[in-house]
Amino acid sequence: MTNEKIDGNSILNSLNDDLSDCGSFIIFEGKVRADKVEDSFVEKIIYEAYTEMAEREMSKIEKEAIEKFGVKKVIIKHRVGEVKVKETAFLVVVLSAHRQEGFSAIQYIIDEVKSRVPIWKKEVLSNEKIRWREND
Amino acid sequence: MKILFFGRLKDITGVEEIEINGHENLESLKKFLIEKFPGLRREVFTIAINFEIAGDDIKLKQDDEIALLPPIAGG
Repeated sequence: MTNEKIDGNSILNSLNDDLSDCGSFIIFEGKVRADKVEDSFVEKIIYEAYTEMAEREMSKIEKEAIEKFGVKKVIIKHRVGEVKVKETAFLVVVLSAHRQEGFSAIQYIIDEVKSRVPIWKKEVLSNEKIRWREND
Repeated sequence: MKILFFGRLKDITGVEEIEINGHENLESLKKFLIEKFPGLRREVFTIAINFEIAGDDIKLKQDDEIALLPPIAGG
């Protein structure tokens, strides 16, 4: 969990691991959309988390993805606090030898994070209304 | 034991956490919480004990950290 902006490129550039056997780098960035809500639209989302449990669950999901799909490395990041439209709220990086296991792993990780990691969000609309939002 | 409220449940109870004693199981704890915060009766939530989702039959301990989690909405 982080309060800072998430930058996929700088995360990739900071990896120190030996990745010479990784032929597939897959990055997913989930961004805040300016969804239309009646006669208004979403300006930003405020994320809140049960941080200690969220970090434990994300570590478990990283380990599960490595064990289940045989990928080499997984990175999961999620913002807390205010995230504006077009900013990245959620990032997953999967490095693997081949693309097939990478795509399977990234789909698994996204689904598990969205259903298991204790994070909640409030949408702040352009008409200044604020509403809790559940996942579809 | 410490009870934590998250998301919309924090708005409904008006508090982030409370400290209570004397509940040995979740049934007794839920009954107490709904009496103290009647708005919780209409809410859907799961309960985590010491960072793990809890089954209904778990025995509570005085030093447990118990969190009421509304439906998860990350991503």
